[in-house]
Amino acid sequence: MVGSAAQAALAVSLAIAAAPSLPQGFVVDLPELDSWLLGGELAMAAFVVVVAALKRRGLTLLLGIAQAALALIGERWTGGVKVETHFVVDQVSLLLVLIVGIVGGLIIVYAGGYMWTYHEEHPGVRDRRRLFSFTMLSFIGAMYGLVLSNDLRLMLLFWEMTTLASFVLIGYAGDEGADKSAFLALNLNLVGGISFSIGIMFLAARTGRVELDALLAMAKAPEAALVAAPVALIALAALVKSAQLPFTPWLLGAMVAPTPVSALLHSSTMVKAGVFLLIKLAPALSGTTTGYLVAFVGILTFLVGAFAAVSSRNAKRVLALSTVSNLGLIVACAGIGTYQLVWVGLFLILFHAVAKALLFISVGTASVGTGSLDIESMGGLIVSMPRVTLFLIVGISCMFVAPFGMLVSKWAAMEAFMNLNSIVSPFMIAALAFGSATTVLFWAKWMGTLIRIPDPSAPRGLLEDRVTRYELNSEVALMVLAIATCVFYPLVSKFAFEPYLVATFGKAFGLDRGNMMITVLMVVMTVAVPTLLLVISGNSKGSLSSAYMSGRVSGPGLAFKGSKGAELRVATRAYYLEGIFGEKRILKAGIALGLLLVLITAGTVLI
Amino acid sequence: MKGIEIYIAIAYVVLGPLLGGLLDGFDRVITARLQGRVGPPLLQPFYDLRKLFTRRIRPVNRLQLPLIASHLVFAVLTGVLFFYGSDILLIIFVLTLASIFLVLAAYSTGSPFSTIGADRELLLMTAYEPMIIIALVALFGVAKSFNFYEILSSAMPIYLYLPGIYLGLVFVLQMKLRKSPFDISASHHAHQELVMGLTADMGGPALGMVELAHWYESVYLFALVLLFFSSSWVSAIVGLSVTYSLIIFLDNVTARVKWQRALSIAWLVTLVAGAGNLIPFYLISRGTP
Repeated sequence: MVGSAAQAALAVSLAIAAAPSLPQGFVVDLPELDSWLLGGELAMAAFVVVVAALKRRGLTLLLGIAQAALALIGERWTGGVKVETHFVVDQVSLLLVLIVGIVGGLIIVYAGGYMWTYHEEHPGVRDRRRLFSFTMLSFIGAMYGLVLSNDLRLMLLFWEMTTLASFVLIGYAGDEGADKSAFLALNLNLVGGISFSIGIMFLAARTGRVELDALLAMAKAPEAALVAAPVALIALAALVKSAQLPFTPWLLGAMVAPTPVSALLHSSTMVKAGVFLLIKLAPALSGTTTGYLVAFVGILTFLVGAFAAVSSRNAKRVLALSTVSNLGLIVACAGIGTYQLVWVGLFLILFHAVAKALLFISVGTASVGTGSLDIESMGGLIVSMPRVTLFLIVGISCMFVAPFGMLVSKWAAMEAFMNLNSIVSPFMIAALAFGSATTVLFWAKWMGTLIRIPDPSAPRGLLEDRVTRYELNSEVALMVLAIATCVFYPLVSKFAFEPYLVATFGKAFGLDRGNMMITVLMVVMTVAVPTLLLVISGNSKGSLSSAYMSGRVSGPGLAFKGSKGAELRVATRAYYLEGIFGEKRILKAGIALGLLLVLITAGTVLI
Repeated sequence: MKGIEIYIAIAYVVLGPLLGGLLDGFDRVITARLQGRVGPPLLQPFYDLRKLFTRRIRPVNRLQLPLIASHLVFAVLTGVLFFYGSDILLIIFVLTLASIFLVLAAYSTGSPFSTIGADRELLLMTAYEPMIIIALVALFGVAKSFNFYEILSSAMPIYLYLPGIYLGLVFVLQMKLRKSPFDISASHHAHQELVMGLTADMGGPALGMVELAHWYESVYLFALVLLFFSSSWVSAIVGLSVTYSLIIFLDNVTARVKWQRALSIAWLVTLVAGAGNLIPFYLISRGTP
């Protein structure tokens, strides 16, 4: 708890201190830095090897050995390279620092309450809460390092640290299912890490540089051909980390972890590292074959994630698929990489982090109350858990309704795709249109399930007595933060993103000021109008009528008289449309297509 | 120009229901004639609405009325923004917000008829939204603007450039206007299998508000159609009358589809008529800056 508050304070103070003059570069004046880096890589590889040997995982063992071998071989090119700036603080890395610090911090506070109930409910799981907190905080620390690194070798070190931290956290429960998911995540991300380190090796061997800013500068210069392969390899690593097709299964498997871990992986850390790197690489991706391929992978993932979410009944799985879908859109923005789309991508990262964290932790709290993760078991949650329902409704609204953040970003994405003078433009727009319509379907039906009131006279809040103070505090804070980001986003655009875009692309993009004001006013209205009306009608003492039951109502709770006067109850459930949006089928097809695209990308590297 | 827009937006708030109610009234008269009946007087929708508002409010729960009122507020707001000349792509998303309030109001009752109606309404929203978005993007492609008045005054025969998109739009308007063959979530006819579905548990002023919102919506939906025919007065009048008649005609000659097929049919039409028109148009217009 104290650690969480301390690191959040650190993040905020860094942001305040650095904000006046961005970007700022920092040099690490350490003669033995190369040895430290090598030592770090080898230590992590050793950890992987030991864990793999203990659990008898041959593939992981091989990957660990490969990682160590690459670190040693790579030393030939990357060792002794002159580095001008090791760390760079700019607007984008500061945004990530703030997201990681504040959202991640709130999730850790939440975990303080949630893990207590978790162990009460799972007596079979060994209580390793110290390890849990340590790993959560290290995860956040590694994210800070990752987003601030300019030296790609340093970034890789932190990159691998997040991989290991997520491995430990996903496998927390220690049973077979958790082990399987943890190793799947580890294997895929180790492959990504290997691609990353080969990319750095190529870069160092060809150009003698290992810095991100140098890479981006060269990508625009005549030596662009030299850096094409390194960019593709590093982008591949980012695709794995951001759970794009065909690598999506690791993130879906990670659902087995306790809820705070899912919240952390999905909102502020891990997957955001992948899209962060792609957004940073956008200038180097823009207009290249790799860039288009990355964009196709992204838009495919966007569609598949949204479609698959319709037929899923498991609340965490719907959240996970929606994350996959939204990450896909960010990746598509980064792959096309124009300054307008980068603006959209940055906002998607921000809005998604806050709303998804809120949703995950609220679902965690709800599942403790209802004893299930099935969305249908949340029917009528507004009566049994009114506060948690409010958090969920705000979170869900932020994900799909205008004028909240995600939708404003999607709208901006559409306008940006339209301004694109490219053949891909109409395809991207059509995909966005179908994907966002589907998004409405699966979120709105969930919301409808939450607010179902079969019996208005039933007592309220019956299931809320086990909700801890920690959980409530985090949820309220994230809810306020979610609405605040939607209200104050024009300021974020003006003072953070537009300066970054000017520095990077020479051009800035913000939505038209008038439109931004309209969306902000609408946010206020969308919050205020229903609230006001609710307060007014809550005070009314007028009598209620019963719902229409073909004239056979026999009591509260939708009871009706069946044949021979037997009292029956109505049960309703939402549509899941397995026939059209069957999750397994769609994911399978998506993975096959994604694999094809990634193989093509790999092919272009070889050529 | 900005001055006039404000007055049109205000006029819309006052006169919108009048126009929407008349559209509804004509619809009933024409439909009756098509079916060989005399039918109600032209102003019948207004008499109905007045009657609804004289009833006492008895909601099913405390959530229902605020949600329905929000539906009305945001339906009107969508139109106000539309006629104020805001970005029409943004407006379509606000329209979705308005519809969601209505769906939630139906869900809140928990009753079987309302719930199934709400489910189907969501399905229809998913079905028609891609086509509407593609239509707006295509309009932007021709007129290079998302402003209602700028597209209107571009004075181009847009229907000639975007025939597929026009047809696709009319197709999904059947859903938005709750017309057969897509009146599966709520129907104007009480003999529908869900007993009015979405609105089964709304009565008196609550139902009145839904009806009023519907009138407001139909005005700017027809204004959207007008954009395809704004090249001259003649084409505007002919285009709108043909569209209006086409919608009523389809309503009368088609049988209600199964809900399972509504989505796939609409998406197929969107892909073939919508995307199939957008992509060639985009390729051709790219050559001419």
